[in-house]
Amino acid sequence: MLEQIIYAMPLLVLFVGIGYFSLFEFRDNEVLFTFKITRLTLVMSFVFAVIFYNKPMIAGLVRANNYSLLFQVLLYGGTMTLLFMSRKWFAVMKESTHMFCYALLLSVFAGNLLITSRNLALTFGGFILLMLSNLLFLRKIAYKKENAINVKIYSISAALSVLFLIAAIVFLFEKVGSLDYVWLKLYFEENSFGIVSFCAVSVFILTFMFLLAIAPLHFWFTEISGRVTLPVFGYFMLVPLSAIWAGLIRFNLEVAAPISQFLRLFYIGVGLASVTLGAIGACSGKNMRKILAYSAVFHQGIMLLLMQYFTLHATDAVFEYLMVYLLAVWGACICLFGLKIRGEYLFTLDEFAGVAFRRPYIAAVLTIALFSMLGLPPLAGFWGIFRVTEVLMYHGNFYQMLYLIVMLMCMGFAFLRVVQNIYFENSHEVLDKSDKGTYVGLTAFIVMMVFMMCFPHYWIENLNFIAEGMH
Amino acid sequence: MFNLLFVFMMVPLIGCMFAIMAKRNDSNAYFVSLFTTFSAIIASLLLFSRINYIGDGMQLKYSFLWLESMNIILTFGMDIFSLLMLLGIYISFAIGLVGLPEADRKNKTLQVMILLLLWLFTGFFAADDLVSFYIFFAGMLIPLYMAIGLDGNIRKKSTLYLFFLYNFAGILLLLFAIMIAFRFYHGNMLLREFSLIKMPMKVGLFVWGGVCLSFISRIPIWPFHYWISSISSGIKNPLVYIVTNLMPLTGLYGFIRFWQSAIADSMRAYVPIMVAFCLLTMLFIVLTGIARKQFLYKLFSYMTVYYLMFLLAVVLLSSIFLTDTLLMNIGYALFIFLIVNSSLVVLDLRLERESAIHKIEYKGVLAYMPKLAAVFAYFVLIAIGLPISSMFWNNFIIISALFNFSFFIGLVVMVAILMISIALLYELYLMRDLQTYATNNIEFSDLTRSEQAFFISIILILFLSFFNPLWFVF
Repeated sequence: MLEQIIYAMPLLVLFVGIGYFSLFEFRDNEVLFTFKITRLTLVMSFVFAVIFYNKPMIAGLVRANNYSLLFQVLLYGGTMTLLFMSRKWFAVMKESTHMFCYALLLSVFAGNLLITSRNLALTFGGFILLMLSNLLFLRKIAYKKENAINVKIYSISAALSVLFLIAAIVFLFEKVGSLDYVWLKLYFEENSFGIVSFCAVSVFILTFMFLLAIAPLHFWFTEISGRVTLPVFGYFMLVPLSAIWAGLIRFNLEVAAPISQFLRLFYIGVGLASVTLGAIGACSGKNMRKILAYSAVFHQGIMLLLMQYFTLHATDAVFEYLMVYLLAVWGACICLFGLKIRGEYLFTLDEFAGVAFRRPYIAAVLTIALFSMLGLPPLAGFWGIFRVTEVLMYHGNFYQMLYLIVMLMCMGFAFLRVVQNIYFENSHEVLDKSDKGTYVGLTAFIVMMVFMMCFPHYWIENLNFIAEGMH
Repeated sequence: MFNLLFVFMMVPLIGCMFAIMAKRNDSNAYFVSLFTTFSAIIASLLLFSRINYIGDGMQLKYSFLWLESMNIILTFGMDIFSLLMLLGIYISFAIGLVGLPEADRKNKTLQVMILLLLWLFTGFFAADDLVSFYIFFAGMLIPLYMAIGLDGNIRKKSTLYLFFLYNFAGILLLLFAIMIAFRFYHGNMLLREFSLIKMPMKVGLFVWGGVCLSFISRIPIWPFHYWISSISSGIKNPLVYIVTNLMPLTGLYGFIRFWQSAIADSMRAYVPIMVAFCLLTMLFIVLTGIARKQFLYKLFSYMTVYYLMFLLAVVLLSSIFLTDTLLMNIGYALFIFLIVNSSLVVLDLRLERESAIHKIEYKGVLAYMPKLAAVFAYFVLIAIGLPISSMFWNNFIIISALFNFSFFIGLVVMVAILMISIALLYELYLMRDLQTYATNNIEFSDLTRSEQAFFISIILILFLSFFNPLWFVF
């Protein structure tokens, strides 16, 4: 029992942090204190997660291995970056940080559940908590009236998906007698597969997609991203993605693999829809955050296209793509946190005009991040596109690849508009001085970019090893 | 382990690092670029002395395992052809840097991009396997786009978008083709092995279609001519102009490397279509060049015609007898061609600037600057193929080979070259018109002594090449 409590320390520490924020309401002038508490909670939780990376607290419920550690590193890394970069915003805006820190810890808790879960009930719990923390971010932190309709849509969709999830869980439990991934997989392997079972599994996959904002379930994310404050936008881009993808990949391989022939077409359809809507949406956007949000839809569409194969080879490619994409998003978000005029972060494309002349380093990193997302060598994003092409060609999907090329060009057009504004336009607006933290973050980004490009064997071969463990 | 080629490849990258650290709004980055370019020229001359002329294939090779799980071994090497191209590019960069106006020398971002391009060009010509070739081929797009955008004087936004998207499409198509080859070969391979892979006809069509389209996207063949012609007509910065017009060379070199052993069976049926497009583009671009008044546009037409002639020689003759000797003739001709073009671009843009400052007509402008006029005239005479450089011999051999292949093709090429040469000569005649000089007695800033010495040394290189194209190798 004691052993299990010790192994549960990463979650327990987070739980204590969440409890602390639930019990005590902090005042607006206690920005530093609330951030300190949150940082301490996250660091402790992360340290325990690393120490007990292969020790599950309850063997039947969670699985702790190098796979979960990888995604925990991404989750905690994204959260710490967001916390670090948002501090200034809250200090300047004099907004309450209480709810922000509370929701952030809740999200990390939910993320941990999704990453390690091997039971549908626990996955369901992760979903509920993540939806709740998303809602807190949308409703309670720097809420704007113009977001009301989108927040409502999100709330209704989340409530509906919870209802469907409950129905799916009840149905599957009745059929299989357990919600353990292993039993579910066995059941699907040994029994003929009915339409209701397919729907039950699809409900889970759709919920993952809803939280990832993959088309056609992207409506809440792309619209809101263009209007929310930068810390909230940063949260959606940096924190939940890695955890949800970890959950989806595990669910896909450990539960849905036996029904891959039914899901394949579904993944292709959704993947292509995401790629199309993401690319076209990004082209039409005049708002930097919206462009990045649509680009998230686009890139996740590409990853879904890879997931149609359910093979080690494809999983490996998804890992690599996710890595390079998250790195680029990380760099782009840090840049956005470093650019403001009179305390307001840059928002529309016009505001980015001439940034290169006033903040050359930030402009260069933002450009590198955007071009990396297009997969252009010699940037790390090259590995992502390289692996995607390799997998699609390996399976002989020439036409999907050609379609992807067209959509990549659309995406390229969207990013070109940004780069063109940054470098080839000029404006007389004076930008605020950027923090030293921004430059530290950007330097770290460049170092990682160079490392990932020059020494791919260090990370790609480790990812291969993790993917092998999944199969 | 110490490898001379590796050090050689790193020279521009190290220069780029220094340029990044240089002060803004200062000429420090410019001097770093200049120093790096001259260092690269010296290093390439050193490499020439280490290469065996009789040896076959890439030499001074080095390779390293980049990614074991995918069996990606990056291999680099040099042969006389690629080294000659690199030397030509370095000299072109040096000419562009020397001819850069004072104001543009302070643009640090431009200098960084130029050095980055120099490094990518070096890697591109040294690449001997598919992956490294792709990386350097694709990598050129970002710095080139930035250089054109920053200092290309492009007024229409759509032109820049189109430029990027054309090239981006080409890059993705090449990746597409390479990855299909990966599937058949189970990993990376040397460039010369590429054309030997046995693939089903349909797959071969996808692969070779992708490869050809990606290289053609860099060469101004209709309908891919738009970006390069519209961009070239606007550029007023000599360095950016030179760099932009080096891009077709990368496409041409791609064809040479990929069709080194044999032309692919799946593409054989489409070669006549490609040839027809080349010939039509040639004639079309010559007529456009004649119709335009600017010398720079005529020069662009001239460059296009020559690039297309070299392309025709590579594509047509590789299917029958693209021997090493003929390939070297193309190499020698290209070497001179690059240097002559760069010099003419620099000199003409200087003339344009001077005539704009003194508000005089372009006609007769050369009469005000006798030193520049002499150098300019010499370069024009080399460009049109008079026997004062090795270009004369090499063009003669290439055109003879084309005539030998098909009289009609040879004739069209000959007519195109003749027409554009006449256009250049006529332009030279107009620019030297002494009538205007008599009425306007204005003091122009002619070539300085150091510039004069620089251009005379370039002329000397070209003149000595008439006797031995590789005279500078000891």
